[in-house]
Amino acid sequence: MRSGNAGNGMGKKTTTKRTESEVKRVLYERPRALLDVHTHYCAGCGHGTMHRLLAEVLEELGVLEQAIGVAPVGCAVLAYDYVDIDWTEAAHGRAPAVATGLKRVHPDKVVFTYQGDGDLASIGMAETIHAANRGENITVIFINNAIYGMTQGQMAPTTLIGQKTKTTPRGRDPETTGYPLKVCELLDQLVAPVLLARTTVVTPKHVRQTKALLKKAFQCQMENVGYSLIEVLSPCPTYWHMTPMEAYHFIEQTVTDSFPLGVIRDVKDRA
Amino acid sequence: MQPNEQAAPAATTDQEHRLIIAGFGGQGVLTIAKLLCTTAMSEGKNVTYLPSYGAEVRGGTANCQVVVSSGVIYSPLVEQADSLIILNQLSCDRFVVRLKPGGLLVLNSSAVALDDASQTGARQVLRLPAADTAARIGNVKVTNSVMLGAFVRASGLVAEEDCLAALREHWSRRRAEVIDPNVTAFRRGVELAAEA
Amino acid sequence: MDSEQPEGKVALVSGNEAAGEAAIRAGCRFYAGYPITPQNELTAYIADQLPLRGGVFIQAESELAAINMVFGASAAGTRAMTSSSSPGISLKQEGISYMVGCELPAVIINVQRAGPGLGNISPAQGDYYQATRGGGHGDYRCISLAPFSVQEVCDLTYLAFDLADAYRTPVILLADGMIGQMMEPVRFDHLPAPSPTPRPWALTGTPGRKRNVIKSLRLPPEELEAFNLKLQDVYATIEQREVRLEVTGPDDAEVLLAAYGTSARICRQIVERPLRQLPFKVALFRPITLWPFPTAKLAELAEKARGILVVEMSAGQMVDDVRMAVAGRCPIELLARMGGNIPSAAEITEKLITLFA
Repeated sequence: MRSGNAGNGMGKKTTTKRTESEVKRVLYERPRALLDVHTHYCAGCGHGTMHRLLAEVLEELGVLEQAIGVAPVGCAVLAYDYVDIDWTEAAHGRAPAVATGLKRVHPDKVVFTYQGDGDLASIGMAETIHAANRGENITVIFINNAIYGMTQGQMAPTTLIGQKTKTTPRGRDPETTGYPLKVCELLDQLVAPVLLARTTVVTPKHVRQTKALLKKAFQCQMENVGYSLIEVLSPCPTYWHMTPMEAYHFIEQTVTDSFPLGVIRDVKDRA
Repeated sequence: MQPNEQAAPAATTDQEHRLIIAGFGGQGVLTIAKLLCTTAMSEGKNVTYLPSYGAEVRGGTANCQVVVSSGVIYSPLVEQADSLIILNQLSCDRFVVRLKPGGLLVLNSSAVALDDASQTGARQVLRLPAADTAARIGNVKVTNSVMLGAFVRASGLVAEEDCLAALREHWSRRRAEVIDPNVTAFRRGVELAAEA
Repeated sequence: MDSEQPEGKVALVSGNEAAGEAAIRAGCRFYAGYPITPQNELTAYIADQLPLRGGVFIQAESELAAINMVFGASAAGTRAMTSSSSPGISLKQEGISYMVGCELPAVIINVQRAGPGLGNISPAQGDYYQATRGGGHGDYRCISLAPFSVQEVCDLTYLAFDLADAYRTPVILLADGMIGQMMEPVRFDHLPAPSPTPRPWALTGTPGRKRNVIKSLRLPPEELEAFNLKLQDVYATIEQREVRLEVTGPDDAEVLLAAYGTSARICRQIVERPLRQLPFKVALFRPITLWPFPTAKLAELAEKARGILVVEMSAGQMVDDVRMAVAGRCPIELLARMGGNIPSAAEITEKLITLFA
């Protein structure tokens, strides 16, 4: 465990004198690989939760020293500042190609991309589809918050019908801008992918489910089963112009109508 | 025909010979070029081989510009050819104007008609029923070997035995059914040129 | 080429194939590429040979993907290469800029064709600016090597990997359709076994070491400026150490021809085997490194010259570097052919006579 504040500081402010065994009974701590730094993420953003899950899962699988991450261009570009493993940073949309190069050279390492919706489903759609279609043995973590956060709130390919953004000021109109793009369902048309699932991080239950799926995705790679993609519906309170709690409810009540949660494909279970 | 000139090499004074081989794709144009080059290399000469490529080979035509020299080869482009080896009519129509006066023109007369060859200014026009000859040998695919044998004899550019060795080497990984007709065709080409 | 050629033999090989073979001999173990004429033989050669010799070949979905796969492979610590022709190289520029920003070595082969746009597939030299000025966004240069024979394609491809390693930079091999398609006798047996420099910065997982992060994002302006200054230092070293050129012809030449690649090949004939006697002595100045450009040597030659004729298969791009090097020491003229046309020895001779007789 790293020094400094562990987790969110639960139970720290007590003044009661405790026995040594009581003090050592840790309820919640920072995963080894989660660096003790302030993130640049906004309040209520889903990236923080996902970074923590990523660090937990890699640690629990015992692959921190084998992991190589590929950061995107987008809000998560600085993911390497928060998770203490080998990283590189791809040009916008190119993470699956970069990961392909890394994984082919190091088939024994655990290679993953961490991408947002603009990066993965707009500018990088060709790389996304072709890496999936080749069945590259990599794990893709897809953070879908239905907006371009880093560039301050433009329409994403996953923006909901009617959703107001900087570039759809009167709401997304499918007549001129098409429909929310369902990446998991699209990739489900391909033969090669082995695990495609959509989840979210807005309740503790969902966080636990997401962690289990993420673990499964990395296990697919470690067992050389093949390509996996975990899509995470993630809140962006800032550019949805909501409070964090409103954003969380919005995902549960509205976003999941367009993007139903669930395992879209799990070849491992089917086999 | 000027038989007395047959043995004279068509090379220019600086021992450089520039030629174009052209025909339909599949007629073995590039194989002729490659065999001439490897033979010349085996004799210690310098070579360049510049094939047509990409859109230029659409429509099924192929050509190769070859330069054989005792010295440095500068441009691999053959604007003015010392020799032309022509396997089809299209190529004849296109390349005959690039023959140097006094050059050598070897035609596959089974597929090429050139009524007035005098306009070409060729030193020698060798009309070989190469495809018919190949068919009689039993495999029309060896048309190119007939042409090669005839060209080697008529030009004296490389030694016949060296070229035959290169030909055997080229087909060495194939069965005798492939090698033997090519050798026969090459020899028949040599004979046809000698008789011309 | 015949990959089973025994060592010590001269093989009849195309420029494209020679680049492939030399790359493998240089220790390249990763290649990603996308089909485009006139470099397809290179991709085909690598596809056939690299997997048999311990490497990875990927036909990428696009040029963008190809260069970024090379990015990944290079970050992983292996010698990696991609190749393409002009339009495809344009697409790779983004990736090249990122590799510079990440100090990643790689070799990029451009078998140039004529542009702009789709243009055609004939040989051209219109990508000189792109190759020598950086090509993508940001302040950078890539070492650019210009072969003028198939043997030189082999030798410079091998060298490109060493230079890329030594300076942690992408290196461009700038050939053209003629050099790529043409076959000539080539030797490979003189190439030594590769000796890639250690890559402690590579992404290999972290057992026994602190983590590595390979990135080009440097948000604080002072940090990014410091990185740029570091790059400029590297470039100054390259300019000092890596200039390569060839001068052919008499030391007391009155007129200089300046050309590289295919056009230099044609020019060399005028020096060594002229079509007709010229009333002045001519030498050929041939840069082998286009960047770093052999500025000092050209300036020295220009002191004694009556004039320089630059011969390019472009509207005139290298002529800018010639002008900067010569700096008014003598007049500079240009013979420019475009569209895939190769200047002939005859037209160069005629131009020389018109200008300098």
